[in-house]
Amino acid sequence: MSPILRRETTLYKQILSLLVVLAVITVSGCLGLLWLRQKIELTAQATRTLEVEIAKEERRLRYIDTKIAEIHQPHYLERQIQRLGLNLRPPMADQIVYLDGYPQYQTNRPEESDAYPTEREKDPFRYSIDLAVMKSLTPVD
Amino acid sequence: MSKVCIRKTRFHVCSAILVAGFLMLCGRLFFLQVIQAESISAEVDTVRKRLVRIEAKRGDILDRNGNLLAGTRSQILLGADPQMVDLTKRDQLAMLAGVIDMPFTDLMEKLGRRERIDSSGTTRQVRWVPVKEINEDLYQSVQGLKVQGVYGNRRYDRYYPGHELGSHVIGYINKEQTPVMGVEHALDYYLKGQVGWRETEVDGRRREMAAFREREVTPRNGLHVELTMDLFVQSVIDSAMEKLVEETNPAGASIIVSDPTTGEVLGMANYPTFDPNSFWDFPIENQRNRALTDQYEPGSTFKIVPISAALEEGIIDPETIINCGEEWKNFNGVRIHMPSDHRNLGEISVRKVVTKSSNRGAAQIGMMLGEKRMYEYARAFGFGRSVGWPLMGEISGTLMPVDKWDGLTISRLPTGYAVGATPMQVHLAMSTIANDGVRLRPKILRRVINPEDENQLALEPGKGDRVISKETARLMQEMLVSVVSIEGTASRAELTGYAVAGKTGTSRKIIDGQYSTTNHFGSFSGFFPANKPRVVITVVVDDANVSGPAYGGLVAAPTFKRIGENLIPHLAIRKPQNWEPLLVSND
Repeated sequence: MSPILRRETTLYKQILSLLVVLAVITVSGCLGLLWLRQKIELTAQATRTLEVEIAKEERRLRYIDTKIAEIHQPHYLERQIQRLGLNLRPPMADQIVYLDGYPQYQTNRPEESDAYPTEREKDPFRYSIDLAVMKSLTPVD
Repeated sequence: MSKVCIRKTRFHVCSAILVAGFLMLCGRLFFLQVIQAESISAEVDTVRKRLVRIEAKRGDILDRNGNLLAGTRSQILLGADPQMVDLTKRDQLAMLAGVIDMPFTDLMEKLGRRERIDSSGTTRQVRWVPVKEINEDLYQSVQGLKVQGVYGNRRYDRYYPGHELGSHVIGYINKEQTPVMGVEHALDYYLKGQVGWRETEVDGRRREMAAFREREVTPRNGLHVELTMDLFVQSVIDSAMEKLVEETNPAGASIIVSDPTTGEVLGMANYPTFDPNSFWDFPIENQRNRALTDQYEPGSTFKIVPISAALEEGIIDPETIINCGEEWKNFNGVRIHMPSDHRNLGEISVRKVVTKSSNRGAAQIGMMLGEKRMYEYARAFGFGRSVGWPLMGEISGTLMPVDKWDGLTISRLPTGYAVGATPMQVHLAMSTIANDGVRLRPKILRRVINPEDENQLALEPGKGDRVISKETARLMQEMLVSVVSIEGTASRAELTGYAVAGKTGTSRKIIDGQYSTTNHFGSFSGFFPANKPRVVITVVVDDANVSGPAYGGLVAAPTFKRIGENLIPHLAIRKPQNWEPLLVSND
């Protein structure tokens, strides 16, 4: 083989190799992009599913909140007392014994404001939701 | 022809086809990407892109202890596709009817409606029949039955767990989701929050392709509003109102309970009332907050104004003798016929004028005070002007300026006639006495709470105004205690062991332009313990159906007592230190 032909053959081989490398990089890049795209899609779907779940739980919580509020109504509790035949009534003034340090009714008076826990101010719901009563009380109407 | 020639031709033909193919492809691409690019991308945007509105959750309304007064909850409109429902599965459908508490025949009738005729007369298939509105629990049970073709559409509704409890204050949201009255309306800005939105794409089945979400603005949920109301106090008021209505069957009534030292309204009820959960079932006039929108002539409860004023001005003292036997009196050169008392009381002290609620005595004190000062004090006590109610609908009442008074006004105004007042104005006048002479604006809104970052916004109504001195107020408190005694007009308001101060009022209603002799407003406004007032309670009863005149001491005072008895343990109102309970001795 003449040197010129040999040099040409080498050049062709080099070009071919370069093309093959380019093709491999392109194909693997495309596949990589595809994989990335799919991962994004899967993550997005998972996020969406979680969003739906959160919305569902929030909805459920709100429903439970209103249900708890319902069974905390003084009128409802009075009806429960009647239904269960309990002879309960509020204490009379003479039946109450006041102890020193007993927190006074919550008012805005500055001298009394220290008697109240700050948590109540922070999270009013904590004081309105009592899950323990949910099982023991079922609505009668 | 040589083989080489044939190959060349084939080569040229193939090349030409390929080039032509590429050219066509390029042409098509040019057509789609350049010429029709705008319309196609618009079509894609229409079909695939969605601007989704993300609703903000409305804030809750809470009482002073965090109890829920108004919240939002989901409701499900249960419906069915009659084409999908298998009517032969009668057992399953019977169970469905049982779960949703609907007669089986009614359910079958709804599900059996498979066709309808539209406006053009064409018969069409029915694909959706609403069955019943149910809650989440029931919907879960319905889903458990797995009835084919039955499904629910969820929506959010405002819910008021207390039903009628405090409905005039809380207000409601109508079917169009518009806040109509009360706190719902006044604080809508805080409660409603801010809606968000999201730009996203959907597939051919309209399912969101979450990966193609472009821009998103998250919603801001509404803030919670805390009121000064107390659920328990409100419930006590409502029970007392029920009893009052049962006993006297009035045309209307209002009850207000507040803390005189802060102006905080602990509860307020009106009759007739309404349930905000089903407001459409009640006449529109039931929605009126009568305590603030209706005026009446307060009668004797107004006497605290001229007597306080005269004491403040040093014109009288509690022991000053007033001649209540005089039928005629000269005032500014005019001979005035004095209002009558139920019997001739003769010469009595100012203290007795209060105890016996003498009209003639009050009129004389008013005359001693003079027109100008009488008017100024009435204004200072809050009559004839806004009380500063933070929710809408309040009226100012009627108090004519002196230049529009007729000759008799100076003798009638001190007795609570010739003045139109709302129950709240009367209540605040009494609160001024209870608060040692300082008049406060009523406070119903306590604070706005952001549940996410615990930030709070206090809603303060502003400072009060001093109307009378502390000494005068204390004198009035002392004199008003005698009203709630066996000698006074409100013995039915007595609370054992507590000194109760208050004033009854009975005024004739104006019917067809004339004072009626059979229709009255009976009222009582008072506070206790008299030496350190914790609550002021006002009860106004419009046209109570009782035998004889509906005196305030007869129709309103017992309601005061009923409420007071229940508030003592709840508010931990201690008996005065010097009071000792009656103990049975073994000696």
